[in-house]
Amino acid sequence: MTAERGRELALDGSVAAATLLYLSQLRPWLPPPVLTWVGAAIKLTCLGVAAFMSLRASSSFEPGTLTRRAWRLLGLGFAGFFLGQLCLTPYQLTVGSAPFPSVGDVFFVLAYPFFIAALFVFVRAHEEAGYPLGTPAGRRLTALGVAAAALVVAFPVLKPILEAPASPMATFLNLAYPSLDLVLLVPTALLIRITLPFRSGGVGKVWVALLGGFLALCAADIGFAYFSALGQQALDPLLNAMFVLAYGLMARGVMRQRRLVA
Amino acid sequence: MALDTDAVAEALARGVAPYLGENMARSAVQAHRDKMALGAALTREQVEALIGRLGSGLNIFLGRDKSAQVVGELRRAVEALR
Repeated sequence: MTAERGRELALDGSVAAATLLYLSQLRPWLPPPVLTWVGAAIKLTCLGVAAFMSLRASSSFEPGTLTRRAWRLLGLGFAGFFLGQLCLTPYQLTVGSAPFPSVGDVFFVLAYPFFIAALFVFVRAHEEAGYPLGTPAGRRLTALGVAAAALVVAFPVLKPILEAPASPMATFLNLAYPSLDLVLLVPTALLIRITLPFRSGGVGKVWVALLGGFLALCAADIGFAYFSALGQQALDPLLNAMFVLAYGLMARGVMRQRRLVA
Repeated sequence: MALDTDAVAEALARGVAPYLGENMARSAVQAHRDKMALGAALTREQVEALIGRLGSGLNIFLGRDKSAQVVGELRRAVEALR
């Protein structure tokens, strides 16, 4: 077994263990500090790995190409999430939970335009590969369908957030996160459509993990904003498990890409 | 010496399948065959053009060094048919 494969397996094991640990807390049995330490460590590790390896992966592509730009944008997005998580961690480890809003939200919100741009640039790059990936009309239909579904979901999700008693900044952020996630779903769906035919090869395995991570992130973020607005915290372990899974899948996808181009 | 197009296509699809997956590998080779309107036998130049098209697509997923390595393997696989 190569060192790289060993690191991938270690990441898989840690993410699976942390996810199960959070899920088991739906019936609380662990003291909260243990879970906070485990969660902070695994989230920072996954986001740090994803940021570092995405930026390294970009250098495998010719300067000026769309793919190089896309990996770089993706790396900057992961770096934003890493810095956001880094801002929250001291609070979580000392007082048990981070304030909301906090300076970490600046990094989290700023990361989204990088993620959205990166995924759209990947769509354009993959279209240029010259492989049979469906028609432009089919892709437009997918984008319109997902955008329409996102609009349908947006109303019931955003309404209770808008009505919940919170500071203007907290309300703005609680609206911004799910809204940005719904926008992120459009290029994610397009890339799922484009990369699904590659699923049995090395390229497909990169994208299954990466896009699975983005789907889990969207679901966790939207769920977190919605249930927070309703004041329901019973599902927090489930949402945290989804965040861990999302970051783990993203890191796994980027590690696979690194191995693919090595 | 001309090469049988089906045999070349099979060798190329086998070469890129670990990266693109078996179905996409076959579809990609077939799509390029169709675009180039290739006949039943291929000249050396046609083989090189077909490999070049596959290679530029691989470049988008695998980067320059790895795709150059795969293109080298494709050339060797075709040479083995001669």
